[in-house]
Amino acid sequence: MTATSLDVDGLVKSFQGNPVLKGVSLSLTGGRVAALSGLNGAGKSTLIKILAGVHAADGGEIRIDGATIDHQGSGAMRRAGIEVIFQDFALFPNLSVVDNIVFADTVDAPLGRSRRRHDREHAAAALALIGARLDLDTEVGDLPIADRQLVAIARALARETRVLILDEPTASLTRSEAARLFSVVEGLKAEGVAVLFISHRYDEVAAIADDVFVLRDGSIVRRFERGAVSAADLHTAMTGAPAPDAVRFNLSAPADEPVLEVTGLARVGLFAEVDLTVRRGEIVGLTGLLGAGKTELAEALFGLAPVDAGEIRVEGVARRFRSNREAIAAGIAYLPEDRLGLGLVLPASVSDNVALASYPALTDRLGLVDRQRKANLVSRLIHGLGIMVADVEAPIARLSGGNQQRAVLAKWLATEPKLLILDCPTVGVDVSARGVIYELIRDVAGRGIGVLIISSEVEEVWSMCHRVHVMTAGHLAPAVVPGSGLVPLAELEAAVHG
Amino acid sequence: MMSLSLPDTPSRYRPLGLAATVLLAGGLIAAALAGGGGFLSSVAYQLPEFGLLVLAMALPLIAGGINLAILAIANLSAVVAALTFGAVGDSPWLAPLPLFAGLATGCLTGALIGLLIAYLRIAPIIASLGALLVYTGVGILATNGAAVTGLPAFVPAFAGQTVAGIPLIALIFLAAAILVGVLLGRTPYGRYLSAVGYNETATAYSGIDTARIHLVAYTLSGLLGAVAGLVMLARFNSARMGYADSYLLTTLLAAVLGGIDPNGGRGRLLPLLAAIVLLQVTASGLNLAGANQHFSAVAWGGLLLAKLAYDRLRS
Amino acid sequence: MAEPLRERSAIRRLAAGIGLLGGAAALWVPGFASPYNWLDLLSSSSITALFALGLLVVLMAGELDISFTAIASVSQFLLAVALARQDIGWAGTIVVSALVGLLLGLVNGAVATWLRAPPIITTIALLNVYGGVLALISRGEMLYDFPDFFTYTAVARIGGYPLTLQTIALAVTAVVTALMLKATNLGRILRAVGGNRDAALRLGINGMTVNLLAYGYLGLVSGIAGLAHAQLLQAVTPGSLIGRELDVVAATILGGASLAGGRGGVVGTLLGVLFIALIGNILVLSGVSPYWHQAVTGAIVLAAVAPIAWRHARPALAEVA
Repeated sequence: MTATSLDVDGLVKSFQGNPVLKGVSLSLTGGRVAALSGLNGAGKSTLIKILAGVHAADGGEIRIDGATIDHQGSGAMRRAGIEVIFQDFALFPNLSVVDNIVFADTVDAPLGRSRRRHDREHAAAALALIGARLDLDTEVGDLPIADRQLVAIARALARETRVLILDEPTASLTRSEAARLFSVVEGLKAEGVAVLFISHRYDEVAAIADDVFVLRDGSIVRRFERGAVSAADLHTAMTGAPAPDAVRFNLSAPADEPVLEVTGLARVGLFAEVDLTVRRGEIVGLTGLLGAGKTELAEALFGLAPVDAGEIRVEGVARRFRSNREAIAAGIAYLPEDRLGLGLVLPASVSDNVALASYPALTDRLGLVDRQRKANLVSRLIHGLGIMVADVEAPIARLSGGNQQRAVLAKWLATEPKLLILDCPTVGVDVSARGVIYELIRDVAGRGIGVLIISSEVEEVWSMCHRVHVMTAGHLAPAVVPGSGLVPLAELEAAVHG
Repeated sequence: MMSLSLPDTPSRYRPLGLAATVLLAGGLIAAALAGGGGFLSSVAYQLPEFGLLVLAMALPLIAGGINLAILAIANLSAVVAALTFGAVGDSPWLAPLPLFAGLATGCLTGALIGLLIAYLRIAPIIASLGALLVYTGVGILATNGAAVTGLPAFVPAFAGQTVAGIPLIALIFLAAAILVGVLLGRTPYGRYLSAVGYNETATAYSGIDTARIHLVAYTLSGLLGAVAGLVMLARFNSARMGYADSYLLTTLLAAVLGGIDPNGGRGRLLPLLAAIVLLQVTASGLNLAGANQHFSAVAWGGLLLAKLAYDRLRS
Repeated sequence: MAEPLRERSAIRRLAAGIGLLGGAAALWVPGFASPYNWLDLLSSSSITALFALGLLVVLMAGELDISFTAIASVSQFLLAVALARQDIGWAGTIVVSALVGLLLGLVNGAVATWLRAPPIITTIALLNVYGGVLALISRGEMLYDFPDFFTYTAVARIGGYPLTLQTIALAVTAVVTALMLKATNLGRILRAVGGNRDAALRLGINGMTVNLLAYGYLGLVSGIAGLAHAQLLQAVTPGSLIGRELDVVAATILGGASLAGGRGGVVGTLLGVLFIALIGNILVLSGVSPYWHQAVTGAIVLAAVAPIAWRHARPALAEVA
């Protein structure tokens, strides 16, 4: 049997007159893993949705083993053996593992008889393929994220899968879970499946891909072979500009007085004996592997989770937060990882979003919003952060992604925080847009605000922070001062990855 | 900058507002020609209870919920007030007591629904439906399903009172409407309410106590329902569970027609007022023309579907 | 396979409640234990149960329709008109009721899906349109002149006890609904669409088709319920069914279905209806004011939903933490 081949030839797709794909061509071969890299907006998700049959292309061809797929739709794609695992997995939380895995059979025969025993055997076999041990009757909503992904993969493999497409599969996995996923992908490769792995992270691409396709502005701009791609090459191909070296930013010196002093903070099972200080105008980094307890610590500092022991002092005053409202009142601001989903109320106006957390300071004696003060605040922040906006009363959903990122920051700066906690400030942000965020962070510190950056990307904290703590299994190592002459990047990397 | 330039009139309201105004003007002229001043005064007497109920429905809708129990609350509050009148006798000096009892009933019954939604996180449809059954049942038990009558004479007289030719109950509605308008448009609470309706999680992340926003919305909804109930008590000179139950459809219709997004988040007073007046004028006009209530049900249902279809086509 | 875990726990709690209530009533309430009381209970709650089974399918798909009483009213009115003109026999009777119901159900499905507004608002509007048109056309007159075949109380007898049309309709509908949800893939599709509509669409499910199926099924069952109701009362009064919507919703939710979609089952739904009917029956037999019924029903529904909601829907902030 010859190896499967999937050829995408000159695929074109527009939405409302905007061309998103401008003639994309790539080919996949059974037994090989191809990576597809590109910035947000390059057309990745449109390409995936066409391959999944969610959209039909306006032009171009998709051929499986040389035969053109005529009526592009999810049925045709499935019959051709193409399965897509979406980033959110597209699972049904209220259905059992079995019902999820055999769902595609259901779609093909909606009026067919349900065959319980056959379904169970089928599902068990699919899970066995990837070496996953899961209780077949558990509802998927009760499983942890990594197990849900295994269910999604098993669902894809429950069919005669010849081409498997994984959309940013590691985004929500810990490092060990990602390692397990990679071994599953290697196993599929050995089975002769053609795999398309969507990722813009160089370490992943280098680890797993035999071929790398780079999508930019709706076209494939580069193709690399295994081993022939460097991080700089990938960056250049994705952004169209060479990557900057890892350099330390010039940071202005922080003041002496601390805004945050944490001593002996503990939450059973998550973190213990945490000592941490952030001074006015200082940027402190907190790095470590996923699952080290970084986000849990940040949530405790922001009053979203209780602490079991230890002390939090904000500007010298001991605090114990029962909710994030009390933390905000004490001068702490927290930007969660999902900044656009959790940080903004998208249908509401720019001005309402920016003022949302600051109304207590914007009311007059009658408790009414002082419109003049609100307008002044909004316009000061919009200008200060360089947000490009035509009408502050228009829905914030109309702003570009970068301007929305700044608007989230504007909302928190409006509360005049003493401490700003940023959780993974550049996750999901294009390489090209990161510089803007770094600049904003330095600007915030320059205003005398203490900044705590939480990030799994060691290079980011190394280049951005005055001091860096490495967190391992709930324990915080003493701060180091990064810098080429002090603690080099490689040493910090080693401290994190062991 | 933007202080005096009506910043909160996004352009998308204008076509609808214009259409409403034109219809309204047309309706008023036609009505005045047909019935003259008598017609206008009948509108002025009928509008307050309807308008108050629409306001009671509007707040939960903006928060992304719904309150199916507003009529049960209105009637139960009126029943409680009527029973209290029976207990305290005819003295006008004790009149505040029954009024207070009625309003307190509205606040409590509304707050209970709010508690279920805000703290137990029961879906608003279920919470207000369960409450509707309980309140109706309790009200019927208390009255044996009959109307409570025998109110002091000053109660029905109150409904007929005018100030400068305007019915007092219309002024009460106007005051309530202005307060709701200020609440929605000028207070932080109004911004929070709308933000909760659009995206509750993001609002909570900004440090807003969203549970309290729900609780207050339903408590106020209950209070407005109680005021409507008291107005009905005065107008009908009696209280009974089941009065004006058909208003559920028309309040939803007025809210949606008045620019409130049934999915939550969007809602402002002026378009809402226009819709209330428009609907009441049309209803009174239909009444005058001798149309029966079933014709009205079809018309209101059809109009609601038409408005939803219009919004769907525009989006 | 048995029902999923959460549905099973709803069934267990309802069964326990019914057992306790029934046991206590059998001991202390005179007349409760008589088989005739049970048959009466069955007949009188069968209409609600029919509606609830149809509604279950809609709720499972994550939708809501409260216009089913109006659909039943329209269909029984048209049936009565047909029967007054011509003796169409049982087959014709069933076909007319089912077809009218199905047709209106499909209209509801198409309108509610296309409008994308909350279905409660859309179907309140439809309820009023159907009910209003019916009242206008019928002028509110009662129809009661039925052919002979339609007037027999007992369609058959088992061991001396009458088997009513209502009982048979309920049994058939329950079996059909259970088969659809359990023995065919449709059940899995409905449950999946209710659980994650977006995912189902991406995997090739046509949302409009599923909604037409769900709303159409409720319409069809409502048509049958209208027929059963007309036969029970031997009269068709336009509007006599309208107003019972919310009680049916309450019973279905009590049976384990969820407004969020993707939950519920036939057994739980039937037990939910039975539980509420049982309370009403006991109140009547023990001479307590029947007005208690509504208040108790509402309180029980809230009490049943609250702990589930409390456990499964954490506060807004915890969902992201």
